[in-house]
Amino acid sequence: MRRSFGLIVAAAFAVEVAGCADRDEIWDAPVGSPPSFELEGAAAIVDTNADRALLVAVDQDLGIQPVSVPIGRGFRTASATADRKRLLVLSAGDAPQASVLDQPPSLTVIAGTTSPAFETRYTLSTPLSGLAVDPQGEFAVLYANDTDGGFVENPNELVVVDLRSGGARAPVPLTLRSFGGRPQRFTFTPSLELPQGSSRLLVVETDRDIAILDLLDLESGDITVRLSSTGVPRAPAQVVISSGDPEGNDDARLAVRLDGESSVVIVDMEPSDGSAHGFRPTPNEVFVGGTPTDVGFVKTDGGLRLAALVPSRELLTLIDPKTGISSEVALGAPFDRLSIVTDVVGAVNGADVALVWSTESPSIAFVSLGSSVGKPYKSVDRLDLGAPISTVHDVPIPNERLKLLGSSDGTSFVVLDLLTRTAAPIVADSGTEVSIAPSGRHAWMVAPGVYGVAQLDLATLHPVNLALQNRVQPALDIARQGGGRALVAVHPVGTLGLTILDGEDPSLDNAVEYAGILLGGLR
Amino acid sequence: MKNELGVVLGSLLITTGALTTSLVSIGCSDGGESAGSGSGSSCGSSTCGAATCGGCGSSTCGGGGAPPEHEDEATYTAPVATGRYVWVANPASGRVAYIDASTLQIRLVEAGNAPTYLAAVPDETDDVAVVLNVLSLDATVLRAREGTVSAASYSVPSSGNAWAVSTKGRWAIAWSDARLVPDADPLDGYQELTVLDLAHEGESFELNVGYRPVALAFDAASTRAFAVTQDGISVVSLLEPDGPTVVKNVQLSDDPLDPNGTRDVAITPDGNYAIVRRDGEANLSIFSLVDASRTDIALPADATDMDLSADGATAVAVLRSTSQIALLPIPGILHDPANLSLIQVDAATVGSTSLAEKSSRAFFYTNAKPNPVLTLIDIAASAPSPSSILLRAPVASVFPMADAKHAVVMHDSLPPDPETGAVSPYAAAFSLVPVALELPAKIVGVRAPLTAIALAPEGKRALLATGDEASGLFELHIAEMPSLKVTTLPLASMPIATGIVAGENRGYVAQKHPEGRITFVDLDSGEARTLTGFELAAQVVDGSEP
Repeated sequence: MRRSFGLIVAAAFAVEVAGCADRDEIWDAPVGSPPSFELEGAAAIVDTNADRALLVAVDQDLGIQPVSVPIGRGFRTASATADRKRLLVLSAGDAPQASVLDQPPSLTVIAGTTSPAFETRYTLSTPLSGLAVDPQGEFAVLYANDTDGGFVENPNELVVVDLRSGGARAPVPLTLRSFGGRPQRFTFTPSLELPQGSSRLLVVETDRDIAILDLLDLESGDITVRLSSTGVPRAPAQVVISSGDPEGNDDARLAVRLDGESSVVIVDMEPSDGSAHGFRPTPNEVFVGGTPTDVGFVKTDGGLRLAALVPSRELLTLIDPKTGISSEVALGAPFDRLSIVTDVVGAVNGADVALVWSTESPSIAFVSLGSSVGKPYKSVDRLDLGAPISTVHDVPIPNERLKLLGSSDGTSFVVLDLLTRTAAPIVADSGTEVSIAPSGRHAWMVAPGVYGVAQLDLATLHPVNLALQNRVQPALDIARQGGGRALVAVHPVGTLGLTILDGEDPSLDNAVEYAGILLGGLR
Repeated sequence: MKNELGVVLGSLLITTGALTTSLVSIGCSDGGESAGSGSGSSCGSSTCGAATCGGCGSSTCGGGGAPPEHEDEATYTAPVATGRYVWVANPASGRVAYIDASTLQIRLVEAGNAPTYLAAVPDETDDVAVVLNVLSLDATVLRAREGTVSAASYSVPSSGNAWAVSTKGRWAIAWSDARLVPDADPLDGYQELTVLDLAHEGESFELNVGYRPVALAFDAASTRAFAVTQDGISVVSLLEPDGPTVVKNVQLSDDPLDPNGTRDVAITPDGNYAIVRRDGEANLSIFSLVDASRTDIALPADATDMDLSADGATAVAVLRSTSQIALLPIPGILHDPANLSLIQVDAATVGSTSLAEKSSRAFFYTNAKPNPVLTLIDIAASAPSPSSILLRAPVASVFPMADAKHAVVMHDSLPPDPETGAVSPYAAAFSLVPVALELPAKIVGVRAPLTAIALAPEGKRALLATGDEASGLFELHIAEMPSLKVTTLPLASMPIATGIVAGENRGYVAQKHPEGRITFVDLDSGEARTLTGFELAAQVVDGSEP
């Protein structure tokens, strides 16, 4: 292993130059464990004390190319887009805003390529702490979370940022119509065929209703769908979307699971001439036989159904959204989470296959949703595991047939092969966390008490344990400049250290260790 | 089966159409007939007290012989369906939801404070319903025309818990049925009622009738209304210059001290006569509602049930102790009290009757003791002769289709097998009886008690709802005639009423749910759709709409 002290030297020089007379307070601020993000071609570390994001790219020699991007004062939160191409950083600016020299709140967009760079900054009028990012990376929503609290605050004010414009379009502030609730969660729909054409919707869950916004037509306002007419609030717990038949424009719908209730509200988007949206949400509550813990739309050979897992009755309830008629699939175990795996295992007579698992019971099951005589399902294939499952990681191509299942204590993992329906156990130290390499070939595992990182080859299931000088939190797998991959192991010690390893064939022989990372680039 | 104009009153709730039912027990007041033993048993039980049973005379409850007949079909509540819409009131919100049975779109309209009791109002062109707002003491008449609903308010100072609506929709009367009031105090007479003149917006008239009315009816011409009370029949003249007025009270008992001498009261469609059956008496009394004259018709034995044909031309009395059926021509029997037809039924015991709306075929059975035989008679035949059908379980009640080509027969749960002790897994059953073709009946066991039934007016479909909250079993059974095919659909919660929206060929079953729940069934395809949360859809607020 090589060790580089270049950054430390540079930082020391900077101290020498700038420090004696009027040393900036950031030199003395504790670093702790800064937020870090895995981007496509860089590891991003938010240096909150220095109001910057440090983007670390890696070259062919495992040398690092750090880039410092100012993010404004008053860091609040940050999030990477799902494709890891961008990092969004939300800052509050100076509070209070006493003069024109004070920094305003802002959202900074940083490109996360192998040549990371500042991309754009959106200036905001209100400091907000909540950030929800569209899985497709086209929009972001800023909102007030529970920690915000100015002299006067409107918790239902949102700011929608169109990230497609590259900063050309100003963020759009709007206030949700409220019946006493405030936003809790956001769901960005895929493109839906609606009566007035294709569009994307934003579904906002408050603590008592949902609001629907057309992301491509924000001026038409929000639609509020209340979930109770009795005066007793009913909180949404989950929203799922069905795009409907691609050939139709009147069968998109969403379903709202209600917190602690045995009902799910299905909201159809029915054509409406009286609405500028061209559709009118029509809610209909359906009983699912018990309190569901997870819901999802599935295809059966009888048509679209809403599947609801009811662990208290060890059931999967299938509801026809058109009729509200339900049928039940006995699962034999209290499964509480489901995932559709049809893309991997293939449809059975046009029907989905669902993988269900449990945080309470050490088993999983494949539910084939094609019907057989007298039953709303074709088969339920159970596999017993060593421990209940709390996390499920998807694996990208070329190992998309695999899922990595983890127990709640992080000591046992299972590599589940969806095609062969085999479950290979992997054991680890307590608290082990796993991340899947974007290449789909490896999984990286780190644990709080372990000075090192492990690579699990997902083809052979061969683990490679790599002992490092410090504990790792987290391990970030990024593309290298010029090709190949690098693993950036972040050491939350001192002013932050990094160990850079070959991401495909990690070895201590060519690893490079860097210290004092956050001292680099400071003036 | 009771119809609106030839209505049998006194011990039952009137339906405004025979399409919607809810099998709700209201104690002995729903018992249409008694053992008739004349043993002099008193109404001493808590469910059969004289104060709560309008027609429960001193000799009507208990009895020394067989237990009393009970008349389940008499407990129907009025449907709240009009030609196209189903109307549902929400007392908590002050709104009435009206559901387009064609599109299943739900809309809301504001009513008054605590809209609670709804009734359909016949109308030639519009869908009209009236709702009683019990806290604001008014009624709202809701009129749907071309997709929009208008509301008109009427003062109802008497409040109430029931409606009577005239055939042509000119008059609606809000009244209070004391039997529906828990622990009603004897000093509460519930004698006030309010007549709404729906032809003149806002005009209502408060009237007082006899003690504790048990039923209201109109004559076919809608010129008079009749309130059957424990003081007799109060006659309301609707077209008086100063508005509706109580013009007469026809006492139904010779004993002025008889507190409640009625049991079954039938009023002819023309409003000229009231036919009265009393438990334990071997006669029927026919009262002229014009001059209050009384004619007693002697019978060979006590009548345990009495009903009036839809055209009012024949009164049918059932004499269980002699297993006879008496047919009385109305009004011919008044001129010749001996001119009644007595039909002996030897093959079975008969104690109750159900008549079809549009057929002269009448059904007879007994539910006072386990008896699986259903007896039929054509009461219009010159020489009626009975025929009997053996069913596979004791008959509880009979619901003839309007044309009487088929009948739906209810059965209670079976007792354990006396020899093996085996217990039936079924909570109840029903039989579909193809009467016209004389084919074997089909019996269907159900896992929960029957709670509601609706019959399509064309006689080709029947909806039967079953439910048991303890077991959580709720189902809707759709019976098709003449195939006798039965399709069972699961319901999400306890069914409380079912009905038919004839104009849209859909059936519905309303269910218990705090947000409101109803399942619609296409009567042709059998396709069902459940709507829950009537007000949720109406509470969607679209920011783009003005």
